[in-house]
Amino acid sequence: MFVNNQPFEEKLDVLWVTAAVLFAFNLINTAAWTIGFYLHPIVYCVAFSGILLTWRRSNSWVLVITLAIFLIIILGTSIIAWDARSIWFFHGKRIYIDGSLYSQLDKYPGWSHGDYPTLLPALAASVARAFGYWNETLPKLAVLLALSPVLVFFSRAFTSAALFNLWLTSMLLVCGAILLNGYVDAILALYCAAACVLLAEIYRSAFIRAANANNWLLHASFALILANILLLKNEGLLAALMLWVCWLPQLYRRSSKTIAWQLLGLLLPFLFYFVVWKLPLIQNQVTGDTFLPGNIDRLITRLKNPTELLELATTFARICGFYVGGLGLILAYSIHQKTGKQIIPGTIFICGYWAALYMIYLITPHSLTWLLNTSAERTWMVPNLCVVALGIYTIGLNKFQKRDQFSAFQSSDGAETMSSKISP
Amino acid sequence: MSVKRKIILGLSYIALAWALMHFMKHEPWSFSEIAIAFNVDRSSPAISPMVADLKSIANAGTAARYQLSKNLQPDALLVQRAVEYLYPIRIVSQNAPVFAANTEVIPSNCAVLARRETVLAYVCE
Repeated sequence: MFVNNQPFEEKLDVLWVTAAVLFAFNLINTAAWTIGFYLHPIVYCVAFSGILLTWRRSNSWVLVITLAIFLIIILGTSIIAWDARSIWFFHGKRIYIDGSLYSQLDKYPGWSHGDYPTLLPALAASVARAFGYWNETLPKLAVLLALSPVLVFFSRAFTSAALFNLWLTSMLLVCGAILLNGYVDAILALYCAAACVLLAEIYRSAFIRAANANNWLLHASFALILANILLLKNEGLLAALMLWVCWLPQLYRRSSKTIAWQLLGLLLPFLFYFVVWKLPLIQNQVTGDTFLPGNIDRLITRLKNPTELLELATTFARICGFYVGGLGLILAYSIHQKTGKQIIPGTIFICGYWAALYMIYLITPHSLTWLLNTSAERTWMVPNLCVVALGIYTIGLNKFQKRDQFSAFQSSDGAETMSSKISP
Repeated sequence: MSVKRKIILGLSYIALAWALMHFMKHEPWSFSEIAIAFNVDRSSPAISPMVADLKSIANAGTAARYQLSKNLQPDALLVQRAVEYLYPIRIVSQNAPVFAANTEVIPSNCAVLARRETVLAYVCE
């Protein structure tokens, strides 16, 4: 149905390397600021220029044009949005001026959420350091630096031009004004969507290919994205843990050596996050306001309050209802096409994330109405965008799933495949 | 490539072009803003004239900390913007020169350090 309709192959190519390098740069830049160093944005540009080597692919020039438009919009607006000014770019300004990733841990000022992770602020600080000054526009280029790895990833993952165009269109419609205004929610949503697609591909690889296939590329990319997710936002810890739990079952029937390596590899993002960010938070006694004492009491109080329950339910239905229906359709289509198994882990992640946010709203110490009005659209964007990504992946998967099953059947090396054991 | 595929591909390009134009239309950007994006002292519509005046006084002075007068403190937006925009100069709650509105009466034991169109700074003995 679509041109080049195939999910990505486990083959190292320019785009995959470019995406991986850019993902790694985000982490290196954040870690470098712990000792006052930074990664010059020009290094990002050099790495990103790798996609020019694939200029014959329509996805590449579509991506370049899209990012050029993003660049124009970013330079054409200053930092205005509330959280962007008061949290993310204020932290970036502090990192730039004080020369340390941890300058916000002094709790100045109290309302600026010093416990929030600093991947985007560190990128903003690097942009300012590169230009030699901080003003009200240029640091916002950090948003472009944060978006570029994940968009390169999707240009590689959705190899069909039609699917990639559909993805960019959906992304613009779902994220809207939050994509470039300096909030981290849309960036987190994109990274989680990428992790969801990778998760599905990891399971496809496990089910369809040889059970002991190395597929280290998939796992390494997954680990890099998890590390980025952890350092983007506090919700990233929740998302990364849930993704990790959804990833675990694919270890079933692997050799003990493979299990050990993969477990170790997928624990590295959490270790990195703990050492670079969580440990300094603990040492400086900086805590957030989500999990305060009295959560159970607040939960019970809210569960007894039908007005608040109805308010939460209607807000969820308004923001997520369409996507809940969409996820049901994707599942039904996948099961019909016999590709349901690789979609299920991502589906569990999405449903779990919906439920976890629902629970966080139930226990919040803030006014529920105020919190829903100021954050619900942004926070639930993460699972909603994952539904879109999973849907597009599923469309692209259809033909090649059948091809892979055929290949597995035709395998002449005698290797026993999981597909022969598990597929109906 | 079949006609069906060409149509689908063409439609996907049209959808993307529409989405990008829709996106650009609804973003608050302008070419005039791009022209000044690289200015070192580039301000923002989020910065009120009063906050800009606070920064002007703070940059001209030598103090690393200021406090806001009791009249200015209830204005949460002003406090927030002052904290962000003036950094590394900090806004504290006591023991520092005071920012006040130009219309405020200065205590008799205090001396004005600097004055701008909307605000002034004073220090008390």
